[in-house]
Amino acid sequence: MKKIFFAIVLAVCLTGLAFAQTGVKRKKQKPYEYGMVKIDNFSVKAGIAPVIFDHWRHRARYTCRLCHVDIGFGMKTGATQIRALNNMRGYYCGTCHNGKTIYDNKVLFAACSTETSKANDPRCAKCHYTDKLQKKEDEFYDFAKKYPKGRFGNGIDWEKAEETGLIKPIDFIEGLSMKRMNITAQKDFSLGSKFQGMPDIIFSHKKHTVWNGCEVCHPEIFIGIKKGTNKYTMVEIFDGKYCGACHISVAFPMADCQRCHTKSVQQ
Amino acid sequence: MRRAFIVLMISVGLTGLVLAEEGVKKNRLRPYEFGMVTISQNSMKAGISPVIFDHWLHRAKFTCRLCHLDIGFGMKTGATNIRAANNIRGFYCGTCHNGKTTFADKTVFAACSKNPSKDDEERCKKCHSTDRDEKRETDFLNLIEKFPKERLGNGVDWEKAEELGMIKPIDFLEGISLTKPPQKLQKDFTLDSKFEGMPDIIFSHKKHTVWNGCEVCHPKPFVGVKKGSTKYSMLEIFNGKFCGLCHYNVAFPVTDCQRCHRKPIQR
Repeated sequence: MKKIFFAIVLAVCLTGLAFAQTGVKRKKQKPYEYGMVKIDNFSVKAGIAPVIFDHWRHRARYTCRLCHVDIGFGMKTGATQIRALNNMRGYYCGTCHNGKTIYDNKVLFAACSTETSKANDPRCAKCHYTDKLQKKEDEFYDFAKKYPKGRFGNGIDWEKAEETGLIKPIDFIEGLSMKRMNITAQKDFSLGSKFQGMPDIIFSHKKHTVWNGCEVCHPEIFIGIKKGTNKYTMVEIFDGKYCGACHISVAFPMADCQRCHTKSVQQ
Repeated sequence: MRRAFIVLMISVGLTGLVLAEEGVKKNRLRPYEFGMVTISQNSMKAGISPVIFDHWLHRAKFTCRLCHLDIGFGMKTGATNIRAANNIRGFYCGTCHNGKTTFADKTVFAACSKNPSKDDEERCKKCHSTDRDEKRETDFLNLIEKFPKERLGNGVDWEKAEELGMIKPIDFLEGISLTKPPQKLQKDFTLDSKFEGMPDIIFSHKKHTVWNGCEVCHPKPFVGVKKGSTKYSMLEIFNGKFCGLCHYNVAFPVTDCQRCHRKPIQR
């Protein structure tokens, strides 16, 4: 009897998986929600609110590479399994949030400690978020008004903000990052579209390396560096693979087709 | 009931396997997990927890060569098929873990025994233990606290730690290792990159032989000693072959492109 029940549950789940979100428009996130990550491997179990991390707050100051390569944050929610212990010993969030690092003439608050009384410490609540999200939204709009507008994602054109020097993302942490020789970025090249009428993609290593160096994308997401080594399709990308590893959840989303498919079609 | 659960777990596992393909960022191991090996060919059958071996604990004290050559540990998980009987007779772990060898003024505990009593439980658990992750991580953090930091792998720059004399890995075991006349080291040489713009590799035999002697790398996986005898590609390396044999799981990972690709490009 129980076995049948399990089989039914399994079948229902798989069917659900197959039908999930085909043919409907997904709910568009609000600009401040784009890139928001709720981290709750251990928090609730330990009797404290989950951490709510905003990409926008950090990406205006640091490159993607710095956190995802040098510090070692994973790129899937929950994958990193950060413990308070790690932060207190100077890993993950605690790499910078150690009560010592100075940013913009301010000392960065220390992440986690053994001494706080869990419930009411305002320092805990900076990450273990208990306020209404409305507060975050207000902070976001206040923050975003400085930057050039974009129409998707955070509603900020991060690329332009960096190009024009409005943001200067830091790419080096003393004692952790390594000074490596600069590799000249390859010239922009085109990736042929497989569908007639669809403009080819113009891919720019230059635009990508500003944020990602080599190591965010190679060798894990794109194993080869030679054009054509990796075969992938738009369907896989929409599924969060390859370009979709970033361009769904944090970097500008792929709904902006012609931001990549930019090469004018030969008539 | 239990069978249904197993079936469910298997189907979930298989789905996971199918989905674990290319184009995504791998889950990054936590620093203390890098180089962790679970050995369980014979343990589970004998009704005891698998052994979890930490490379970091041993590589701070011994060279790679000593264990993988003189003692004879394989380099793939499960390949060595170690039995308690081997350890008891002084092979594999039992080469040093025999209750007699002294290291840093302490006697090294004996690995395995024929009829372990209740009193031996603590000793068994030193290796046969899966359930003390937090302790393991704390031990790790304490061990590496003073070592120079690195951004990947264990988060330790082992090369520098050795150069600075912070660790002095032992390369000789009385009664097993043989003293051979030292061989003169070849000077550092370049391995040409096949891709325009990618810096050539500077390979240092000096850096490698400290840990590996000749025999860890020659004649397998590098059959020839003459440059060019062995042909291999980055794809094979990323696949765990050639350099990837070590620079993947134990030595600094290949993600650190410019740590090898470091020859300035001629313009």
